Amino acid sequence: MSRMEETPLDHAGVQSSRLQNFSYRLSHLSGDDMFEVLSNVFACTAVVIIALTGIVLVRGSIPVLGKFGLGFLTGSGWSTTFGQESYGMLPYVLGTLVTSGIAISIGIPVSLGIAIFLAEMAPTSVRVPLSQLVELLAAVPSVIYGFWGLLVLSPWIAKYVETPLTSSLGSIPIFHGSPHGLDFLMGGLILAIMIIPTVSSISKEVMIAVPTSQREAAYSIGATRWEVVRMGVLSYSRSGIFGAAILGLGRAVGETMAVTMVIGGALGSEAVPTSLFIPGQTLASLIAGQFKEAESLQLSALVGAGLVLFGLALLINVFAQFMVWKVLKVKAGAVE
Amino acid sequence: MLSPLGMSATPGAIVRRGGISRTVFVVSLVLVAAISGASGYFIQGILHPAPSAITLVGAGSSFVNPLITAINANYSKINANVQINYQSIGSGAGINALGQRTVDFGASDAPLTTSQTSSVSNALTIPDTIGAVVIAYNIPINSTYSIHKGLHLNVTVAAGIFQGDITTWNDPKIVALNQNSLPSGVSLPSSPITVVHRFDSSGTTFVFTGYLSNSTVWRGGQSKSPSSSAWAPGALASPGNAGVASTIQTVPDTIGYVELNYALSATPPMAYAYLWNPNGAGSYIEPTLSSSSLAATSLPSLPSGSGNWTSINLLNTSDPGAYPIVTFSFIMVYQELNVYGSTMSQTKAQALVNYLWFVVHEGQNQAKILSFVSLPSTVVANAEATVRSITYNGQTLHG
Repeated sequence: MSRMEETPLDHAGVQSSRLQNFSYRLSHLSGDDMFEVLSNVFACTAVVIIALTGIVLVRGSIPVLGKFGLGFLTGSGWSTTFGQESYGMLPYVLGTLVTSGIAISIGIPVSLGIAIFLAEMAPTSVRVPLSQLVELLAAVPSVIYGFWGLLVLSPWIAKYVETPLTSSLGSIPIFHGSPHGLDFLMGGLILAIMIIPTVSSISKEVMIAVPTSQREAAYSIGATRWEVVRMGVLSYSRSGIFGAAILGLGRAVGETMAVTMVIGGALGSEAVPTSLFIPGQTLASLIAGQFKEAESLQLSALVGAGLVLFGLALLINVFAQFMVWKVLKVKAGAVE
Repeated sequence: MLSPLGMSATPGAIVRRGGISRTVFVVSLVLVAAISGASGYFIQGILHPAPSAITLVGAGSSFVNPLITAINANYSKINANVQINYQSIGSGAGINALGQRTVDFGASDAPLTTSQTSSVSNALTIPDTIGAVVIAYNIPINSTYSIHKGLHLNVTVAAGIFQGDITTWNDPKIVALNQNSLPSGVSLPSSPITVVHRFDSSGTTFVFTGYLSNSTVWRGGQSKSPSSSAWAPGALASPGNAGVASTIQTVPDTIGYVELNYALSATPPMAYAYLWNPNGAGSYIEPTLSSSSLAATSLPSLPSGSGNWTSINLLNTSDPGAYPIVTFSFIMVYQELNVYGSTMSQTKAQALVNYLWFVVHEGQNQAKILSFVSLPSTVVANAEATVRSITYNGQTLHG
């Protein structure tokens, strides 16, 4: 059955009756009307907050954008010395994309595995406590992940993953460096761990919502268990899973505290991600680390970094909406 | 129409209109209003316990935060009606806040720059303590012996290490400075050196790179947050003094820089370098409270509180016993306190002046306890004159 049938008609009806009764309703304010007004006001706050944030970021970054123009986006300089200032955001944009990319490529498959197990395979006695445990992971504050990453995971990764990789595959540029465990890979890993609870619990809900008839249909044509999951469940819930992945990506792009603690904190051209095993920097960690003692043009550069991050997050969301829409359009009819 | 998660409304769900009755709605609105009004009233009461209480607000340097917090606690013990609220938001942000007149005093590890002087006009500069930066390291020699404090360095060799020209402990340049001071049978290892620097923008880095800039070989300039290309390749960055200290203590063959008070009070004790002072016969100076204090004693003269302090430099002063990486930490206040308008009063202005007087006198005893360097008497005299020059509506406040 189509999901679109009921809504348009319904809305039109409500709207016309609204117009007819406007003056009557104005003099007889009901609880419904108050609720409607309040809801509208609260809905507007979302728009207002986005707009105000954008305005403040643009205003704050005018000095640095005026001085460097497009070079602020494409440059990789970092000099706070008065009179010789130079700020370029390219290394941090790349650093954000690289760490988020690592997070997505490790986090999504793991999350899907968790979700498939919970939704399709686990008996209820396992599913309920395990789902709650996964959701509990999402409630762990990011600074805790940062601490754990810094004190436990980072030395371990440096010793057992990075050092062997550098010594055996060091000639490949992305494995080059002298690993200490505070680098792009570590930043990406901690992000992967942090997005798993969000992505897996949403994917699980989406899979559970798939009608049983889908699975029955697949079984009835002789599908194996994996084929049922692939044909019946995964393809039906594709857009939902994609949405979950985008939520995860959104978190990875903006995540600050944990990344700041493990990314290594390089500045300037050294922060360009030429290897997984060199200290790096993301837009969010740059702002967190540098904001406290920043003044004049450096402060403006950090607000500019905020603007770039804001733009990057918006772009990802727009892209996600577009992809969801496209995926749905292709699949409409094919699935239902 | 469709949520991005693809979960459409459950088929057959009933859309309820008017689910909450009007009475319930109105009653809950009234309740919420009443509760918030009442709690606002009471919370206001908690924030302002008595009408006579005065709250002074300061903001700035995180380096002096432990000292100022201790001084504030002591001050409030003696003057129960004065509360001092200090926010360690960083030197730059503290001066910005003073410029916007949201705080009564700012604290900064650096004198006001030219651009700051224009935003904070008629501000006075009062030294409150002295900071020193030590070069700390972790050199394991073998399983039973590691070099504790006392590695000898000079500014040229230090700059060479921190920018990666000198890459191992047994580099001839390091060995040349240390061959007479190491115990017999102990030699510097050949392991590669890893440099540790601050992740965050920091006054400590500013002072330290200022010291390195005295060497002709240093290429990185003086900055609160130098580009990574200034540091040795493969250098590690850690947040805060605590982060740098713990990285040095946990990662072998590292070298970095931390505040003196941090190095002195660290457990387990940190190993730190003695630095070459060429004055007199020339000697390697151990960083201590007294060798840091000597740096300020030897200054020929200090500017007045309203003067320009940018040229005041405690790095490499002329005293033969002075430790070379030393800096003042300052409190900044307005000379004429009526710039705050109605938020300032005669009593509050008086309280601020009394507090500043306390900081440069009794507060200096607190400094010793916390491993901060207390001001020498010449500097205290300068600070006294500055505090005396503070006025409210043209009247002086300290007799």
